[in-house]
Amino acid sequence: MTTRALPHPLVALLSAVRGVARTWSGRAGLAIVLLMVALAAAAPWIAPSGPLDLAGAALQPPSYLHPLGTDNVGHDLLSAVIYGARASLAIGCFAALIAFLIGGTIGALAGYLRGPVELVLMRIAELFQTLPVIIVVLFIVAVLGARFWLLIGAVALAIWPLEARIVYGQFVTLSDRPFVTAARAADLSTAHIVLREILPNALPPVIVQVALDASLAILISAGLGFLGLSDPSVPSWGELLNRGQSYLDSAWWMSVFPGVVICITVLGFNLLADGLNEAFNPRATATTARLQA
Amino acid sequence: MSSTDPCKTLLTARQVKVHLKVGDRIIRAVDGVDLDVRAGECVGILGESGSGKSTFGRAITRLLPNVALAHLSGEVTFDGHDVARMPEAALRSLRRRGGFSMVFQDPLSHLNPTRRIVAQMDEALRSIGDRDKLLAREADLLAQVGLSDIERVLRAYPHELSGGMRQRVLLAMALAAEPRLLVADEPTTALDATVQMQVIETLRRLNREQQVALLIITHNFGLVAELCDRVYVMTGGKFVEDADVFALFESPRHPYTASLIAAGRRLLQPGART
Repeated sequence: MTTRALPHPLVALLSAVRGVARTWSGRAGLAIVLLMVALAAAAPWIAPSGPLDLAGAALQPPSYLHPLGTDNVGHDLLSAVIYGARASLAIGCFAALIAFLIGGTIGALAGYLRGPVELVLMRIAELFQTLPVIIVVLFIVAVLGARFWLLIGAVALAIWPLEARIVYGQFVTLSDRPFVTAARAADLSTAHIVLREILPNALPPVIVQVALDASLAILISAGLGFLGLSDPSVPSWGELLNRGQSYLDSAWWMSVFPGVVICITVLGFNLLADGLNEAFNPRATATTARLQA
Repeated sequence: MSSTDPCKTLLTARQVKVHLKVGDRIIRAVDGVDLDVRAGECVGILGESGSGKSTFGRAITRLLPNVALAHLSGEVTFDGHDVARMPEAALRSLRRRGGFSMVFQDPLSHLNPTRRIVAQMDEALRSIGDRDKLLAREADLLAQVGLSDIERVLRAYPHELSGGMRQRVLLAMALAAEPRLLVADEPTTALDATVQMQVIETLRRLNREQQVALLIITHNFGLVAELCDRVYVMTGGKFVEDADVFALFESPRHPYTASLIAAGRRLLQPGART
């Protein structure tokens, strides 16, 4: 009988980064995400003007001075897009992280404890999945106001069931593995079994889901911004879309450029998730290798 | 100590029955089996795949998963303790010290792929608080099962070890509890021939030098012939023959045993291809 040796997840994680760089989707995803992070981090140095500075006349089409044009007040759009990356990426990453923490905890509890706990927790997760995401977030924001951290929380609340389902599935399969049974028979604490025995083995698909969650969170927050539900004191891509709405027929650049940037970023996170998936999944990698050869 | 008394019966099983539910059929996996293992003895259970030998091994060590169980009955006593009706806590203390341990066929799936061997051995030896004593004991156990380069083994992850090394690491963990009986379910089946011999040698030394009684569950004639004093032959959930190992190979009484031996011989003869 031959059993495939599973590498240590940390080893797997390191080789995954290398694996991500091997597939074209991983390379592209990694490049886009790193570029966006660099833009957000270096905004004050590379943006031509501040996010709230009046840089010129209002509603200027793209020109040498203003490569992406100016908006209805006279802000430079390139600067607005660069500064907007900060809020949008922050929402994406923090919402994905919070969704991972909530969904991970609930999925792990349900998958490990089973029985009535599983029944209740997974039905709650399914309930959240059946509610239309936008409506849930709209409701929260409408009742509690459009503050930055509240938006992150609302988006996380909308996407945590995805994370819960993945973690739950992993825990159900791994709980039956002999080394987990052995740890139970040896009377080790539940915390030890969940955190040390099962969790490290469950991580690869969960990490892929976190990358997908980040792209989803960016998309949802942009959608909310378009509908006017974004923190007005923090410049974001969604807010730019909202302001562009009224000028669609006269100043197309106000909507098109933020939209394109959102598309590229979401695509970047999805490609990164694709690359991670292929790197973690040896069979997928093998297929790719054969296709490329 | 009772373990050095060679005549004392260590493990007794009487009329053990395990019936499993498969769909709406009931499979009599183990159907009324009697077995005795004396202290320091080496006993084999020989049978083909599906004969119920593994189920029986798990039943007497109370390691049966109770999901598909339709019926479970019988008497099992270990050193005077009623194993079959023992509360879970007492069972754990028996497993933890001076009782019985078990080794399985597939060592890889019984080790956590994400943790170093040393961390996993720590769990088997939790009663030792002192770090230096703990490491010394771990090194001692690994040496007992014939592993060299112990530093490297302790620091390794399971996937960095060969199959034979993993099996011996599991043996070392099983020995951490100083068991008087070691139940080994196909301990060499997943290993190649040379490594099989090393594991057999290790088991023999444990049996000879530390008087650990062995219950070897296998379909492998060679393993039984190498190690065991006495053999039970199992088929269809029942023991059909129980004999001294030499007597069994010389003159099998039951036709099933005879056909098993004949089949084994044919496999060994290169000219027997048809």
